[in-house]
Amino acid sequence: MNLVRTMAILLFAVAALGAMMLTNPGRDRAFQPMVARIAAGDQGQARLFSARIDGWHLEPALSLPSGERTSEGVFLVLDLTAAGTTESTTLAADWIGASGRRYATTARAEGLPRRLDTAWMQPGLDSELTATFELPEDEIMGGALLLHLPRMPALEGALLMAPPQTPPAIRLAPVSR
Amino acid sequence: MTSPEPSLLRRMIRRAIALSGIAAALLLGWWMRIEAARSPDLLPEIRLGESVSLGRTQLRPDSLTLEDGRLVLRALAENVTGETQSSPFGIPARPPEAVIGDSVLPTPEIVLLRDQAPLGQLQPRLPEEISMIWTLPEDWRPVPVTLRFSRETFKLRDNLYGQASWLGHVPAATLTALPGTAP
Amino acid sequence: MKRGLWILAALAMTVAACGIAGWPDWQDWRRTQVLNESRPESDMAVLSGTEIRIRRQAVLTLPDLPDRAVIWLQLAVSPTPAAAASLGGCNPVLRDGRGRRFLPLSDELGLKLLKILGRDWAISCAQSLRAADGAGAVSDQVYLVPVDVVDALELEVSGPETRPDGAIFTLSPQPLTLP
Repeated sequence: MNLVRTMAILLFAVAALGAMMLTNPGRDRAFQPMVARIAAGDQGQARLFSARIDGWHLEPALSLPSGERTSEGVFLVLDLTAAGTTESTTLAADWIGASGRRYATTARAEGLPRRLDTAWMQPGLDSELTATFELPEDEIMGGALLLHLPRMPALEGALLMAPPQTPPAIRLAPVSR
Repeated sequence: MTSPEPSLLRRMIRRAIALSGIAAALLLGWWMRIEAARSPDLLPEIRLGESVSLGRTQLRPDSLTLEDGRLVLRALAENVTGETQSSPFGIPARPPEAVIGDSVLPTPEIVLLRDQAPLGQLQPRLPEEISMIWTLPEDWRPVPVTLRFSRETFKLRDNLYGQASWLGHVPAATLTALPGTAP
Repeated sequence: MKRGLWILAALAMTVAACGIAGWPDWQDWRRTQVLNESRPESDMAVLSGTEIRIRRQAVLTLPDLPDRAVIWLQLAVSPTPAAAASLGGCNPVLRDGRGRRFLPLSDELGLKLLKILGRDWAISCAQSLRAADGAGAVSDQVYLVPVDVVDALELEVSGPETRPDGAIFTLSPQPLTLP
């Protein structure tokens, strides 16, 4: 009888330990920014910044001062308005594609004005910015924009923003900016 | 509270159990050394047109040519992870090494074939044709060149933080070819 | 009685453990905050051996963007040789009355503005101090702020080595017209 009880307690302990080990979140899941979902067209508000998507379009090629940049996919350009809240800050953006893959703003857009990657948000001042992504066209519909502080500090605010409901128009001849 | 001295057999069993871990560790270590000696580290030898996995990137070397005194490797690079890689050849970056005889050529310049811009990021699902360009020494004569590829290993939960990491470079494959002339 | 003592001892140990574990974090946190604010009467303050003076403060309004103003500060720092490193990595931060903090512009816009103002390169506070060797240096900083807070601005100067001490200057920038 005593042995049975001991075995039952031991089994329970092993099961409890196994359950804890299996459900224990890894560091990648435990230390995440706090993501708020923002519906299409709405203004998103995080602790250090607020942002809104004003529009989007596609460009088959980017014309830069250093020459034209083409792509195997397309360039998705989002026009944003963003502002700081309490402190000057920089922002970074990722496009979470329809397949769940994560596309960072492309470094190939270097030289375009008003790039989100290099701009500083000042408290209380709206800045108009563009975020440019290079991606396959089928990642666009069903995807969303993730705006966050650079290097994704844990427990900091981030915004997962739905894009406009109308599909992006293709801008064939890039307008001079 | 005094307990009677356990019998010799019981004491021996206890000590054997306590020692079994050490014995198992010794045996396992010994067996692993034998296994390592039995299978020598032979790097796979690939040919032009065959793919090799470099960890974050899958690389398919297509042609090795000589252009204006420079050695050019055309290749198709594909990001096989789920996110943009800003250092496709790992961190720290270790692009393929070109070896002639005993000397290793300096780090190549890597550009996109489409517009000759330097390779910065590699986006998932967008394979890029790239060329790696090595500057050759003055006194170079056409001899077979060996390219050494190294791979980063992925660990879902690393030992330090328990987070997904790309750790360390290990040799992945070699390719030996005589550089042709540019088409 | 005896059980109560044990409970008390356990509580004391818990508090001690928290204290020991939290002490480095508390020290780190103090390094990020200005807790002891000194408010100089004039345009000059001394912060751990370094003399900081505001040589020039100006406000520039942009005709195209009426909602924002550019603040231009010229700071002169003259550290004693012993204190040359004490302001290393220092950030001169602008604060308004509502707890908002403005960092100096370090992007393209900042460089462009400094060029317009006739200064060719922004020497950040830290760099000028490291180059100084006790000789002193002048650094230019530009800020972009909403136009309605221009009258309520304060400048906070501190460095990782001086915190929790920091100097707070009350600003009254003069309007500047570009030639």
